[in-house]
Amino acid sequence: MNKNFSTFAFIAVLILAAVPWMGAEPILFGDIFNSQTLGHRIFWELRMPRLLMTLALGGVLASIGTTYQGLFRNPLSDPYILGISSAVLLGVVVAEIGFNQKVGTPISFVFGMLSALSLIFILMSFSSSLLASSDRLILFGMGANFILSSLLFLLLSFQTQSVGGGTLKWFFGFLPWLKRGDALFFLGVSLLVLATLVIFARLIDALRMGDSVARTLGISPGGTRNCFLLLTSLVVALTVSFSGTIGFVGLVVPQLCLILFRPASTRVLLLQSFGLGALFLSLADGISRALLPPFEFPVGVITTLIGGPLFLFTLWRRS
Amino acid sequence: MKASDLTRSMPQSLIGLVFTVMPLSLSLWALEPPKRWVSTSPQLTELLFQLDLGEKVVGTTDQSDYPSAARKIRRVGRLFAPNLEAILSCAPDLVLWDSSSFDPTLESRLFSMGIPSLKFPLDSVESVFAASRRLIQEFRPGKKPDVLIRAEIEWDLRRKRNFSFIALAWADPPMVFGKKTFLFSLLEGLGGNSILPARWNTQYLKVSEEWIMAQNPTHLFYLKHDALSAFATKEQCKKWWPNQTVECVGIDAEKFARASLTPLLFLSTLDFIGKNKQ
Repeated sequence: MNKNFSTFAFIAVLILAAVPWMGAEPILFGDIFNSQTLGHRIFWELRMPRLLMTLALGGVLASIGTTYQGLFRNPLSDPYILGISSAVLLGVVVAEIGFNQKVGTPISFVFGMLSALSLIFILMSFSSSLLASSDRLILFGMGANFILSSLLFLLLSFQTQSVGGGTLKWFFGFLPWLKRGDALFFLGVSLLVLATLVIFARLIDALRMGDSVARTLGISPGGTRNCFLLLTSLVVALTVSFSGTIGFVGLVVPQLCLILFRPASTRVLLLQSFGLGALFLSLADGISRALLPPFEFPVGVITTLIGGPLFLFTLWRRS
Repeated sequence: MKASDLTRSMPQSLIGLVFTVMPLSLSLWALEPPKRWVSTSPQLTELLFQLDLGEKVVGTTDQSDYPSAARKIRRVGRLFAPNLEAILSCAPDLVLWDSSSFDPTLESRLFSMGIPSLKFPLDSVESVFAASRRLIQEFRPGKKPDVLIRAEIEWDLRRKRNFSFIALAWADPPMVFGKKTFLFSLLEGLGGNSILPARWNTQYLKVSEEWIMAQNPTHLFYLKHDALSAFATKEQCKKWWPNQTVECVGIDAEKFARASLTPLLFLSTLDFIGKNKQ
């Protein structure tokens, strides 16, 4: 355990202790043990489930970012690089404009997922032939992002029914207030995703060394990459349908981990990214709620404001 | 209280809905009517005050400035963005939404914490009347407030004119009131013929200046927020129609911007509409 890791653990404890106290309403320490108080309700029914959810969401975004950066051998890869997020956003906006379904309704969720699944289907259909290399996959993602974003802004510029309501702020990441059971379920799913990625991290290590090296190790690069892409794309679609797009967590956290902890393998990097990503998003969420109460900023705005300078920092350290 | 009135959004089992929500909602209202309300939009807050239900409102969102008593009510968030913690801190037993500020995820979470919601569409004159009657029927039965009676009379006796119109929400860049807005409904009710295409069935629409210039309504309405913006809009009108074929009419934002009974009480101030053309 190096010195950086000890410092990280200390900061992690501080953040985890501080975040539940950040929010629109002040809570006294004694309130959390007194079930008759409003503070008790807010602390246990709202803030703790929210903390669990941000830990899960931040962790899963950062670990998918790590996976993509390994799969594509590109440090600029993030969970939204394949255009899945744009597909979900487009589906949700179509549901709102065409069927008057606001963000958060089941029909809106279904539209978002159907749109993402269509893109995943296209991706999978082409990935064995046209998109055989990681570079082509990234280019496909860029193209899909451009096209879908254009369609999205075409719809938005046509009318402003979404402005001011939930949709626009949701574009920049907006976390719902989950019940404790749902938050625990979400955390369980994210740990399951992490466990799957960690178990198969050896394959990412092989792909990181290049397709030809992977082949010599007896691994099919195309097939392996497809399996990872299918799993991660589904998870990304779910997270975006759930909370919108939250920038920079999946991009900057793996880079920071590489600089701070110098992990020996992707397996270790995945675990570290999950931890740091979870803390990063929790802190950003706490700030978004405490900055100007009772207004709650979209959490993606805060992650970008913090993540942008951190990203530049990683560039500077790499140089 | 009908079970269907309880707005539902997040996935809940149908069984849970039928066997839990219905009896709960019925018993809640039957045993004790809610006394502490949070209103999530300025126009709804204004409507509640007009119906003598304002004393029940313990929380509302920003810009709820009418009537003046509403300014003293605790704020639970920005316009369109109520905060869950701030709502809870008001200890409400009912949260009221108008459909334009409705947040299904928040409503669902409130419901799971035992706080029911009611949603009212306030996007037309008829919907404002319907919401008023519902609120009175549910929470102040037997006594119809004078203001509602006056508004109904004003509306029934309104003078119908024959004019065509565009209603501007903003002049620069131009954005028009769509068919799903209260003001549009009001102007149509006064005999106005919309020149918006049938497919533009929405709340607000960004339009190009070209499109506006190509239209030839008898009237263009805009909300007068202050003298400066009114002057700027007048100048825009001169630019769009240099021959002044279209009458640009500023209407008082304080009286006509919100979907409540207030615009109906001031219908007589719009009597000048169409006089020049008839």
